[in-house]
Amino acid sequence: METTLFSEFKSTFITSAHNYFSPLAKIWSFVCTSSRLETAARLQLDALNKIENKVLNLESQNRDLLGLVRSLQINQKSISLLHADFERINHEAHRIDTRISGNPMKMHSRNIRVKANLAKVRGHHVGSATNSPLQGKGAVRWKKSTKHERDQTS
Amino acid sequence: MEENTDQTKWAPKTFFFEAVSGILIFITIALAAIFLSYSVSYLEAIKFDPVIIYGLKAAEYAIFGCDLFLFAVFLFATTKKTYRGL
Repeated sequence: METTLFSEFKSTFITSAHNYFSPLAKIWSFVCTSSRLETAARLQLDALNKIENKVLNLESQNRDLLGLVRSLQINQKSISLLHADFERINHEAHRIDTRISGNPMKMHSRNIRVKANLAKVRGHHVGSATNSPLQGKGAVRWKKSTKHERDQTS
Repeated sequence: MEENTDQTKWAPKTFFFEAVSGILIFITIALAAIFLSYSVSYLEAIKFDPVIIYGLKAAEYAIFGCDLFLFAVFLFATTKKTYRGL
């Protein structure tokens, strides 16, 4: 009977000792878990900050790209307007060409004739180096002044 | 029904054993604090380094406080268990 009681007390003592110190183990595991959770939370926070920075960068890049797209659209519009102008001018030039009977060499010779007549009216030779008013036919000659004339001028 | 009666009969006995065990563990740990207290008194009497004396006092209080806390928790848990067993 005493042996049974003693063995029972012994088993109860071991269980009680385990129960006695279990709060310490719980506190310790709580502290460890808290620190692990804190570390994990800090890592996640860092990752979130990095993602936030990337998102901000992407937003700014997106804004820049939108601006570029807008300017490209404006450029495209102006290019289409210019193209329309060019087409109109080209059409007009073609119309004028066809009206002038379509012979460019004839136009060139007529221009040469007009220039030659103008030069005759002015008294110059056409197509030579004597077109200057200081040379050739009808050129203004420089005459050296005498001493008397210089004294009068001064 | 008979099993329930057995549990009711064994609950006070288990509480007694657990209480005695808890008191023994409490006294065992408290003895360390008491030994430290005596040591501190002796060291103060021989005018030992005050820094060490303060450290020993802190350890003594920490051990005794922890012991008290654990004993209180243990008694509360044992009482709860016994109350459920009754």
